[in-house]
Amino acid sequence: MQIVLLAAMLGLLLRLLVRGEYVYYVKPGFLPALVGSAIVLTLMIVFVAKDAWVAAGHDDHDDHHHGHDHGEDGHGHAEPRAALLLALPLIVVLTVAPAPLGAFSATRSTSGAPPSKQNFAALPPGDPVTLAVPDFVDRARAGGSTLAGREVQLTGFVTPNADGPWWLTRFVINCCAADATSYRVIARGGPKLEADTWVSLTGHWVRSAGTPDGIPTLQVVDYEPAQPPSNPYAG
Amino acid sequence: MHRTPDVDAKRSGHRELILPLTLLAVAIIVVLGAHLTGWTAAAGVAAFATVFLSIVVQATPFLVLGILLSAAIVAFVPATVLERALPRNRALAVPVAGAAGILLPGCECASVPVASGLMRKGVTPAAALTFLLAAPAVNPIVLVATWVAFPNDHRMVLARLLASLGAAIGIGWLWIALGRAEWLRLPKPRSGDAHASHWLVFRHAAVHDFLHAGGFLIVGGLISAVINVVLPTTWVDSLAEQVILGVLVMALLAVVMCICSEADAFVAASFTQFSPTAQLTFMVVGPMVDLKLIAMQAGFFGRAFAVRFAPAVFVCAVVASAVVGWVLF
Repeated sequence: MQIVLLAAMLGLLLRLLVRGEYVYYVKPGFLPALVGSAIVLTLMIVFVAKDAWVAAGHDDHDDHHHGHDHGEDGHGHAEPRAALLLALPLIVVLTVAPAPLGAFSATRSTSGAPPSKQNFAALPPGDPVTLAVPDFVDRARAGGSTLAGREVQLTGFVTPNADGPWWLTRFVINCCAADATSYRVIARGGPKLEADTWVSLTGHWVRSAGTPDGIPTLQVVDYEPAQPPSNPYAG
Repeated sequence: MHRTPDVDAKRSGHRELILPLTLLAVAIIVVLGAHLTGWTAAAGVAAFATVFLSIVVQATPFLVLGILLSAAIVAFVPATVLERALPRNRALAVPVAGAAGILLPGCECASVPVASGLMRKGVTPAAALTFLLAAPAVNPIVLVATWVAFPNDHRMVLARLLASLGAAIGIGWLWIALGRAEWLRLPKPRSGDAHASHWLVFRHAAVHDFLHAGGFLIVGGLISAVINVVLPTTWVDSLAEQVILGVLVMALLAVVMCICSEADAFVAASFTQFSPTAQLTFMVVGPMVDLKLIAMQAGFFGRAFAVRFAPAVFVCAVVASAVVGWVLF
């Protein structure tokens, strides 16, 4: 039983690592730590299997330690009931297709920390300028002087809004998806699109049209469909 | 081979706790799925899966590191070394353990098994508990993250250090004053281990601790993910205006969100409507009491311990934050 539970955790890690899906859950920087964990789990499985082999009486050198007096007796039942839940993450991955956080979570999380600075460098020349959604939001919140008169291209997914145009959205995570904060931009004049559709919008910042909670507005000039990026989170 | 009735009672105790919680979580998901329509239902289940798995995946490396450290302490560190490292006076050992916590960069998931390992090795519980609380709350990585997350107010770093250390040391002294040894139920070395090699002890402790802590970690992650989907964090915004209520709301939010202590400063900073003291409370409570920690502490130290420890730490952390916030901000 111990081997099954350890293998379930190992299977979870291997599946997420091999398919690159771990970036839906944690920052890409976690890669070495996850590989290390998988190696430790593999070693644990090897040792537990070896102990079980020995306990089953295949070790001739241990003949004075067998039967009910063996120190290993009942070892297979030693794990607490709660350990059975170690199989759950693998079951969830196999039944619910792994996906990054999307529109459902976007409106239910806080919308971005205040910008870390007020003085942003001027955008590079040449319109439209490709900009990350959080960068655009921070620049707008800092007064928007670097955005005025420029055309920008932003890539994100669609979050529906019952009270107005949908939001172009990107999540930023600091450690794992449980600490995600959303960065949203009101897509004024944007096309009608389904929730969670990835799209690149070209447009310009609309001065003082943001909502009081710091969500800026983009006047959409053009758009094109976008592929979901390999790392769905920005920052 | 023949289990005593006592052991059987403890086993059924686990069964009573775990299975209803799991069923409750699954039931909430099903009810939620039935009440939401269209893309929202499927998206809600997907969001639950993502948050649940992210808590588990994020915690796994820290848990592995923690159980390896704990097993190494149990197997290789002679008890005399730890005895000499800590002052013999228990009341003095507590602040020393708190200071030691500053030096160990680790997540809260790692510190639970390490504290368990220290206690198994004979370290006085008060000092081990202070270490358990201080290590994830005030290590250098956490303080640097706090510095970066609050660029406009670096007093937050000092406030976090003072409030977290104060709460951790306060709990250690509280344990000396009120704590009882029978509340603690530590994993016992098995009969064969007395004569076993260090290496064998290490392997057994590592596997046992991983299964133990991992299962309880998943209980905590499960409940946190359900709450994340059922209760959007935006509901707290309307309460930000109330000063005292704001502090309590942020403290409760820290308990249910289960954020890694190295990332919680950024989340705290995003709650811009709240007072600095409320944000500070979020960062002091989170690394000390959250659902996954309560679950893991119940697994490592027993339920009798967890039901007393978690509320005591919660109160202590909120009071420490309020006092430090009142003085500094």
